[in-house]
Amino acid sequence: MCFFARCRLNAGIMSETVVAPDIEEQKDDLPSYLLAPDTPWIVIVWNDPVNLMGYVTFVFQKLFGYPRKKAEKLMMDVHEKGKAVVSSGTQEKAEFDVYRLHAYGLSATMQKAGK
Amino acid sequence: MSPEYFSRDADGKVQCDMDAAAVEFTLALMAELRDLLDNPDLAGPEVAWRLVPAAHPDDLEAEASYRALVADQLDRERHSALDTVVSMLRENAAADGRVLVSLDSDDMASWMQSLNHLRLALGTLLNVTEDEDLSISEEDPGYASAIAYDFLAHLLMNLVDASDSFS
Repeated sequence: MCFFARCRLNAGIMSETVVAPDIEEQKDDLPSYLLAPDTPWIVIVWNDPVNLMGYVTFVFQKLFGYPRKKAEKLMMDVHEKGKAVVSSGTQEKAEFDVYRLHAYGLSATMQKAGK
Repeated sequence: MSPEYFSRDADGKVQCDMDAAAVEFTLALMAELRDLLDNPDLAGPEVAWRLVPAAHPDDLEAEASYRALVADQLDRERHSALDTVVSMLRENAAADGRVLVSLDSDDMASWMQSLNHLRLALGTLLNVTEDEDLSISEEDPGYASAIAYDFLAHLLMNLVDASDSFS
């Protein structure tokens, strides 16, 4: 039996339900310009208890070319405030950035700016 | 004091230097990662969700499109990263099992992604929380997982420290 199956069977540690970040639907309240197709999108990284702070800082530097100080500030925002906006741009750019963050194991979502 | 498995040499290159025991343990963990990549539902829905988190948690249609777009690519990249790590360890092992090899920036990305991928899966299974030490007794069924989780953290931070400012 593999490691993961053993782990599930033996430890019984599948207790806590994972809940996706809560982003409210506010479309009815949004100004119309925010619903325009070219509205910039933002990419948000969410805090999680597993990713190491130094690793998160490294990923921000590596993926976005941020100086260490800025990367550390964003990492601390994620850690202390629960989330941070790490990039913005067109929908395609945001999707690409989210993909790269997911490839490095960070919890990232995208949404229209101002939402 | 825990051994340092990654360091930067005089020429600025990042070096991996692992003894036979560390190599063997890492290869065993990478085999577990391959099981997980080959069978994404193996460790349950929470782990599967954590490894491919939502990009559009409030928009099911957009989320479905995102997953259709990236799921296969993510899977291919993760297999490729894993293959890189395993090949480096197998192909550079000396007679005594020690591995001493230089890593370029693509190699480092492969190592980091593979180590972190498995760590995320274990951390989710172990129900790791933010402010809690992962102290598990030897009698606990999750003990082996906790040892692996700590070892992966040690390797990952070794590599991040060694690659600091690497470009």
